[in-house]
Amino acid sequence: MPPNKLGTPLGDSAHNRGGILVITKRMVGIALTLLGLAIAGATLAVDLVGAGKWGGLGPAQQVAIVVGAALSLIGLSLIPLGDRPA
Amino acid sequence: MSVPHKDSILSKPTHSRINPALELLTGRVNQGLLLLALAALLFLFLVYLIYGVALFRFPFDYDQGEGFELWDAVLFGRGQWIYLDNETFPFYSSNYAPLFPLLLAPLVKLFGPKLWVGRVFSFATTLVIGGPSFWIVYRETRDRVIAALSGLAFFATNIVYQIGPLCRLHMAMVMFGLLGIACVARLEDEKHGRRNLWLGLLFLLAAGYTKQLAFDAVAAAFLFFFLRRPKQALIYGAGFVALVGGIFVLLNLATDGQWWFNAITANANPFMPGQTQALYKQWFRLYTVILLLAAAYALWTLYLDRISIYGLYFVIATAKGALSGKWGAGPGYFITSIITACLCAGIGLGLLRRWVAGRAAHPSLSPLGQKRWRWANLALGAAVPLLFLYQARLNLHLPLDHPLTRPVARLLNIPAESPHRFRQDYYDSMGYTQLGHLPTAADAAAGWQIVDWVRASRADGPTWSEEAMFTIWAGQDTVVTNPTQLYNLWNMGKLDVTEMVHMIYEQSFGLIIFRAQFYPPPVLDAIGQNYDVVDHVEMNGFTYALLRPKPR
Repeated sequence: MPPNKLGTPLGDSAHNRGGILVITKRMVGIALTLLGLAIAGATLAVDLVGAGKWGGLGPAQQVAIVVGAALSLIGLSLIPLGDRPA
Repeated sequence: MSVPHKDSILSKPTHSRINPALELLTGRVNQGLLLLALAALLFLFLVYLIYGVALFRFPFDYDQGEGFELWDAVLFGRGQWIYLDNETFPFYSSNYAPLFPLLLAPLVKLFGPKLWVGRVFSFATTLVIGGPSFWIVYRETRDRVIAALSGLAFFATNIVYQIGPLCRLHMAMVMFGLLGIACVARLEDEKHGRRNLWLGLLFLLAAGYTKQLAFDAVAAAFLFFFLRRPKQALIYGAGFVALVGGIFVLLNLATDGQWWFNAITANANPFMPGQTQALYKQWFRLYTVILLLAAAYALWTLYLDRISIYGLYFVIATAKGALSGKWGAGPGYFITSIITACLCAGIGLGLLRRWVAGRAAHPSLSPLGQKRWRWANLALGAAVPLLFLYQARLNLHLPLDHPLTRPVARLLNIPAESPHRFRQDYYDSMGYTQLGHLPTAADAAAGWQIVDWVRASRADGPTWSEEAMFTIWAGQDTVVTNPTQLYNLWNMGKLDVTEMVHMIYEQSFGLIIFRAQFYPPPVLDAIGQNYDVVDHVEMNGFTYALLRPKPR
């Protein structure tokens, strides 16, 4: 496969072809899952350290937890797509 | 002797083909719908032109920040920095990145400090955005109709209409961001990959130094780059961060820390979730069609194709809307989301149309299958213009007393008056908005009346004004105060008002002009104790209070 101007071979169907790391749907899925968990976890942790002016979950925290959970679900749903390039 | 394929047209049973007359009729109806959709979008583009020309002719601030952004260009033209100490006279500093006024400075030198210079510049950037929008959709889909519809849908949106022709930097940021994304999208091009990448990074750098909010374009570009070329993305990303950081540090050193203080610290206002929620609701209500289409396209690329840079840009720009929940922010924070939604909706629909048309003509399908796909193709031919027509209706906005738009207002049965309007001569599906109406000759005359007050008071000292253009037109050497900047800093406890309060008590200012009184409370108290209201002037829907020193 001919190199392009970036000096790397073209092609987008392989998991790891020609020494180029190809980001796959599974990798993106795992990253999104972890990101979502981190967002939700950090949002809950805010209460543990006593930050924020709300007694329970504040409105911004609720949104952040929903966003984190949604990201995790999207991430989990991508993992079965396996080695297809992202 | 060749044997006809079993699925050829000749071999199709009659019952599996669409009635030709019905197919012709449906095609004509679809063409009519398409013309209707194009007419609706072209009408809204005409409204945009009318509004733009009206603003070019209006010499005063239409939106409060315009004069200050023009003043930044004047300062750069004089070789002065725009990031200044707010606590000393003239109590003025910019809170935006420097590129927009830098680009404007030579034009202001050439034509003078007039708002039309910045307004024409900003309006031109929207036209530039429209061009690449058409080109991107066409490049991805080879569908001119969809490219035209989605390009025109961009100009039809309420927020682009309202902000596009203002002397504000937002649209220049969007233009640079979009051009950067369009270039990075082609980083794998065999012949021009490297050129596209470098050009894209240059545009992204320009976007970031036009307005800090361009981080969505930068994030989308580098995420896309990382998905396609991870190692190179990290290397280029490190270089980009170093370059951005280097410029940042140099700016900060050159301005003695005022760049960081005024452009970063002063913009970190408290978060108000309720405001964000309201703006997201309005955003979804006004742009429902293109948003749902764009979301569908983004999901399709996420699960069934390679992730698209435009889908990434749409998602990140939409998430950025969360930052709109702070004082001074507004629907403008959603412009990038809306523009990328137009792009993604166009690309998604174009690809869908191509796919369905391809299926309908596929020779391997059974006659019944072909018939179904041909019906699907015809149905899509009707759905596409109907979707854009509905989107145009959602975005409807027009002056009610302009000869070119009044007949349409009557045709659409828009009530002449409503308690929910800022001005009765303008209708906007957004509801209450202070932008969008056409300034009148009476508004301009009122502005000149205020300028006369500034000139008449000059002997008693400079004018302290909540808007810049009155003093600029009066030929005052400097603009005194950037009110929202002072107000922000005061609310954060980062402003010492001693010198300005002292000058007010000394009655150092010959005239004070208020519009919204966005000043720190001690400043307002001092003014109240030392100045009297001498006149009220109505301009552009606002009441301007003019104050002169109290007799002693």
